[in-house]
Amino acid sequence: MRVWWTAITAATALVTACIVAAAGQEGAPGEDMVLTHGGRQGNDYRFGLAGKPIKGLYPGASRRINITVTNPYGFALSLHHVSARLVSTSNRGCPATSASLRVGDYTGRLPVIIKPRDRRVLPGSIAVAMPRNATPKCSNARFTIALSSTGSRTAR
Amino acid sequence: MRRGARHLLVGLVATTLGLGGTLTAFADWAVPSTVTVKARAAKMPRGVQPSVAKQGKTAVVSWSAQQLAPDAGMDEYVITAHSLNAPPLPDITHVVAATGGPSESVTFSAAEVAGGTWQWTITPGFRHWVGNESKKSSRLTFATAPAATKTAATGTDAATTDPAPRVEPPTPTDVTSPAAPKPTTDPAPTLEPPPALEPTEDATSAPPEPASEKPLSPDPAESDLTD
Repeated sequence: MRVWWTAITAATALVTACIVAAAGQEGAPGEDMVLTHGGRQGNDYRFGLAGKPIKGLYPGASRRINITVTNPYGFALSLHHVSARLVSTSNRGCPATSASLRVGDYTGRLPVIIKPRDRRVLPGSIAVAMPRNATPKCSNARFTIALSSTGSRTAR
Repeated sequence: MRRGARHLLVGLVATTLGLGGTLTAFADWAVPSTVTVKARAAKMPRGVQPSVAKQGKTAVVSWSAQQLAPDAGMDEYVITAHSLNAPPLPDITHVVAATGGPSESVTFSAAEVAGGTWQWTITPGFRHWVGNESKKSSRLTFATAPAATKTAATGTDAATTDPAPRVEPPTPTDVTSPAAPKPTTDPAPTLEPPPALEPTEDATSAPPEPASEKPLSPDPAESDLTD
């Protein structure tokens, strides 16, 4: 019986090890894998996410932020979610609220697949608009908008 | 045998769990990702220094249209006439809606400017955003309105008479007539020459009066007037 038990245990361990190895993951087995933008940091796996700055906003103006995603890995990424929000402004009198700048939702189909080691401008964009009654204090103000994206590794 | 089967079962379950867990882990990583993007609002510009010219007894102020952004021109402009008289006259303000053209202009009537030396500034506006006031224009001096009788010929201000330079002694006349209501003078359009001439005249017209009685700053600046 003992022989059986030992054999089964050994086989199980072997199979598991093989599977993990065969997965070909870039991280070591057992690592916590978190994908975020910007390149690898520790155990994080980051992909590139970037938005083109916009300028020339004025009361009543609307602009769009186009987003580019870079996948530095050897596997495809599937983006499930993209969003943006106003984080701060450079002028005190111009609050970081929708009264100064409205940041909309991502408009475009999701998920989007980013091929291995590929770079892609997402088909959709994020609308940004300055309300007509935005305070004059927002003149020449700089706004910081945070872009967020969530995705996962995908087979294809 | 039974025992063996049990162990085999345990082994299979362990394998399945290991395999499944591994695949699941690789298949669905949460990928929170955040980055910031900058956006910048346009800056309300400072007004453009206007140019001024006399046209008869009126002042024509003109300036180049301005834009807040490539796709947004100004809505309106606030044009202010600043008095340079000794006790300064109250500022005169006109608000002009933008025409959408490359340049804008506004006329200050004879009644408004008579008897004063003025400089003008432009302040652009877009919605409720307001830009900074421009540099002041060159100055123009207008004779007092009263010139009722005599003035007529001489032309209270540059427009008419002035073609001739400053030497003109006639001006004093204007002075003589005290505080006659401005409007009266204006009527004497007799000489009204083509606007084209005005600019030069401006300089000339102004000087005479001050000398006589008024504090209407005869400013050397008159030369500027010429615009």
